[in-house]
Amino acid sequence: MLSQFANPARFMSLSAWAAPVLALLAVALFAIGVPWALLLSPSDYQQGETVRIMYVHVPAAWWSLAVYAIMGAASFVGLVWRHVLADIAARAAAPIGATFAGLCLLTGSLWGAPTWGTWWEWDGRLTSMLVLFVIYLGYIALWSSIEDEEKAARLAAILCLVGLVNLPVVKFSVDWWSTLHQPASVFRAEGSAVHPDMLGPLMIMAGAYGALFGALLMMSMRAAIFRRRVEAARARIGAP
Amino acid sequence: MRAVFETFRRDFALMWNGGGGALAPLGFFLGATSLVPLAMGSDRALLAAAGPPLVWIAAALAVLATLERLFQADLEDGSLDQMLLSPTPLEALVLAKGAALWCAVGLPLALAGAPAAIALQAPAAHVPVIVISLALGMAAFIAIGLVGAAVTAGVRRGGVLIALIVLPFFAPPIIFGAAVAQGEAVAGAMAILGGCALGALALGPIAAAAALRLQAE
Amino acid sequence: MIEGSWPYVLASYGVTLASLAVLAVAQLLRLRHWSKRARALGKEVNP
Repeated sequence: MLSQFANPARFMSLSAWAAPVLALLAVALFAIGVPWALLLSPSDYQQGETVRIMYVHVPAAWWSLAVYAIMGAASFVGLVWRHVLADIAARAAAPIGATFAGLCLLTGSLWGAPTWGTWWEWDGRLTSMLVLFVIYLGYIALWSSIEDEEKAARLAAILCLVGLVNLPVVKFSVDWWSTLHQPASVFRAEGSAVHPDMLGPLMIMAGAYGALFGALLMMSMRAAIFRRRVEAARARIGAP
Repeated sequence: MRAVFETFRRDFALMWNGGGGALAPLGFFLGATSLVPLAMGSDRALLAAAGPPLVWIAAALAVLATLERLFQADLEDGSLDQMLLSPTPLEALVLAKGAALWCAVGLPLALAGAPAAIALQAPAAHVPVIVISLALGMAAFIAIGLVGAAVTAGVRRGGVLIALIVLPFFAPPIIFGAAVAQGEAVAGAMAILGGCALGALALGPIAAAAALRLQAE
Repeated sequence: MIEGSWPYVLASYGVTLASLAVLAVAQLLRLRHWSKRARALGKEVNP
């Protein structure tokens, strides 16, 4: 299946139908997830209604990490096999991942204000997530600042790979530093500690974010491929 | 091996000859730390509580300024091509440049941390520990900075870009270095700081060399 | 039990959905822009 993505032309024909399908799936999952999260799911006996923020905060956090990991894989493939699609994919994924990381920070802040009484705390989890966000920004900025696209792709790939060291820090920060943020409760060795009634909307929202990422990634990659075609054609024709 | 020493010696000399070497970052560092009490007011208790860690911010920013030109000059005048042609591995030469920067700028900044820390009301007995932690921290900053400088070497006026790229990676040494400066969990923080430095020294030159090979293409 | 937290909840959902919508619209516009240009160029080359 991976060879489907190897060829830009095949990617274009695949994404021509896959992107709309994923987009519709995302809309559907959000349409199911948001009302479920806001109205039908139970409120927490300690945190009250603020626990509902979990359904937008946690998927954003998960996906900001997952997207960076995907960028890392794409960067590796692009670096080692010089694969144009991999470079395009890495660049396209970055703004989406950065948005997820930013949303994680914003919604986390809005969750923390009523629950912990503080808008921000420099504990391990929050700090490393902020670090991830800034790493995303640096990556995006680097791509924009190098004129030669091929060279930009390789250098950005190196930067992305170096940044991977931050991912385990984010994941395990709540275990290593016991401060403010809630410790791992969904993906744990002993099984999830989250109430089953809350798991439902959480997973739906996680799926919604994922489908949205897939759709936006494909759209962004398609735009990039079109742009390259236009620029290549202009270069050939010698147009201004 | 000789090429490594030659690179070190050349870079060290260049830093001192062209632009006064460590003087500019040092001046910045001392100036910035002097401004802190002015900004915070002279309440000694407050300074003692919050001052020493600010030494770390000043040090990080000071070294940041030296990174922009680190590989830029080599890229422009062809020295990078010479380094690539040399039988010595590029990683070793890059490490030599980093070592030169540490000797010319990093270590003096760490030593300057002593008067700075005292000015910011750190207890005198604690100052040697702070200096050692700064020395480790500067090694970490420089090792990380090698990657940032290598990756942005072709970019004109890439100073802000380098800062954006490199500052998130400066965060762990700053966090643990500031903990040492604050006097909290010194042994543990120092150990982790040392780990950051070692990790950066292991990974940095490799990534920087890979990026430099791309720059020269 | 924490009271009076609905504004925070609604603000979170609002910010999230608004940001994602903006991102999606931006990507859509960008895609439309470049695909139009590419198609136009295609017609130029193969009339």
